[in-house]
Amino acid sequence: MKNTTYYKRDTRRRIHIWGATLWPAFLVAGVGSIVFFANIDPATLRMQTLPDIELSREAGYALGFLMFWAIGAASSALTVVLMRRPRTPRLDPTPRDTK
Amino acid sequence: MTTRQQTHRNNRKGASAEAAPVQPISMYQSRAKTYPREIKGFYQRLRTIMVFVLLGLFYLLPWVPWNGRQAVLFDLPARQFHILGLTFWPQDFIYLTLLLVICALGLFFVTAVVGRVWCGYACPQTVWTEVFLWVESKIEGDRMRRIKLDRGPWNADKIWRKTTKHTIWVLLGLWTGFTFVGFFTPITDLGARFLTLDVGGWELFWTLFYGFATWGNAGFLRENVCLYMCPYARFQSAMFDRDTYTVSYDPNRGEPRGPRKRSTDPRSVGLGDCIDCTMCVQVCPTGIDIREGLQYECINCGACADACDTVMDRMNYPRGLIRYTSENALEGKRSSLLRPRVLVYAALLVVLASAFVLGIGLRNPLRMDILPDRNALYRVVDDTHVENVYTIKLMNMSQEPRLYRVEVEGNNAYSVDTDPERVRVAPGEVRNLPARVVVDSRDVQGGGHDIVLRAYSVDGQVSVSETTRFHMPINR
Repeated sequence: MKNTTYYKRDTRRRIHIWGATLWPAFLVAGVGSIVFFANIDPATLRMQTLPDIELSREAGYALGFLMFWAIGAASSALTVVLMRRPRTPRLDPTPRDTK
Repeated sequence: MTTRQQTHRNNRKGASAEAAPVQPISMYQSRAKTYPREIKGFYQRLRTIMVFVLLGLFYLLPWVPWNGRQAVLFDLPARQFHILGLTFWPQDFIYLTLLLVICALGLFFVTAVVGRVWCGYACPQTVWTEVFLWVESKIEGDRMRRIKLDRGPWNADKIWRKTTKHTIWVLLGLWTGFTFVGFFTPITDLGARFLTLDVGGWELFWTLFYGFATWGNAGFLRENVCLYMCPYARFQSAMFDRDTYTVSYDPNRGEPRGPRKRSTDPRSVGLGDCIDCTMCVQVCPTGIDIREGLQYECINCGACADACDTVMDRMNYPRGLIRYTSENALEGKRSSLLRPRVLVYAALLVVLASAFVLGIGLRNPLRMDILPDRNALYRVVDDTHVENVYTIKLMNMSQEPRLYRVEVEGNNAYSVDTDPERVRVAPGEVRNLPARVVVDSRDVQGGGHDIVLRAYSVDGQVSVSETTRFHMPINR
């Protein structure tokens, strides 16, 4: 296929890493927010924790969701880091099964 | 640098000097950017219809009025969900849970029967990608032109086409974001505030956020979302069996593949029906070759089946070299629809859906919570009477305002004194009602015991009963 543009390998890797970090966190944050805010009214929560700060319910929902997302993303990012192979070169090029 | 790192570094140098150079191992191939070719056919028509139906629903639903308000409105600021004539409160969370479980089971059921049709026809990622691709092909031309344009220099024509495309994409994305927010805040109001530039910060944020996500996902990431980000793509195989219908290439009929003249009888030159034109690969939105068998990248959209049928028609071969079929059918075995997996999913679906409908139909529009006074368990009023104090929370979940009263159910010895005696609760409102329950201690046994409080509407339409504890001194 000579008429083809190629994604560079790095682009693929980047999409995978960012995708695998942000997307699962986004999904989980969605579910988490639904469960959390169905049971807890952000207005009540504000009254009990930050009565001095003016925050609307919308802001409460949004901040809650973003917070869940950030936590999820942090966790996913760590998973991505841990799942990566350590950067050590393979010293012996002989395939394992021929040893 | 640690010793270990140093060693590795030296080894690497050594290795490259002596032996074959060591290639770093990468899990990522350089993969061709996918330029799906446009194709006409049965499945593509079906997909187009689905795009119109689903996106039509999405873009139009917020504008549909119902009894003076938006028909579908997830009113987060007021903590109420309106769906047509129904209103849901946070207390109805169980129904949302049930609905999500039903949706998941529905997806399992459909996947077991016909494979990933969700991906090919209904997933928002696919649906919006279809629209964005359509815009792209209108402006940049067909597949070959797009490839040429991308490889060509940045001349005036390219700049013009790219700018136009992105302008339309961004506008589409923004409208999508606006519609999305319109599900959560009344859309006519929101539109008016957008026009007068008086829109709230969070509304603007979510509009831009959703718009940006649409633009990025449908314009750029496309099949990469399915390949790298979608969890469903990874676990769908758990729902597959050998009777699941998927888009499959029939290797018995197609192989050995190879080019031939139209007039040649393929059997006489030892060829199968596949002429190896690679049309199926060119039309694939995820850029795979279906002839290599079932792959997790395949979204079951049927583009390759349409492309192949067109080619088969041209060659005067029968259609269906690539078709929706099951593994068993491909091997000439019987393919059954009614198998345990499908039956179990179907049964669960029916049970849960019935529970859902019944639950909503029988939902009590009045809810009562009883909070006993924690400061004093009881109070002796005179020598014979004992009083307990409660705070009663009454919640009217119907559409009309109602007047309520509270009594003790099934025992006339108790009297209930609320302030006010009849309380008016607006739809969706929660009222706290202080209540004193008094009993002549000679009429009931001593110590703590359960009583049943009943709240009822004065019009006799609704009532709800809750049990609570009544405290008394023991030796009375």
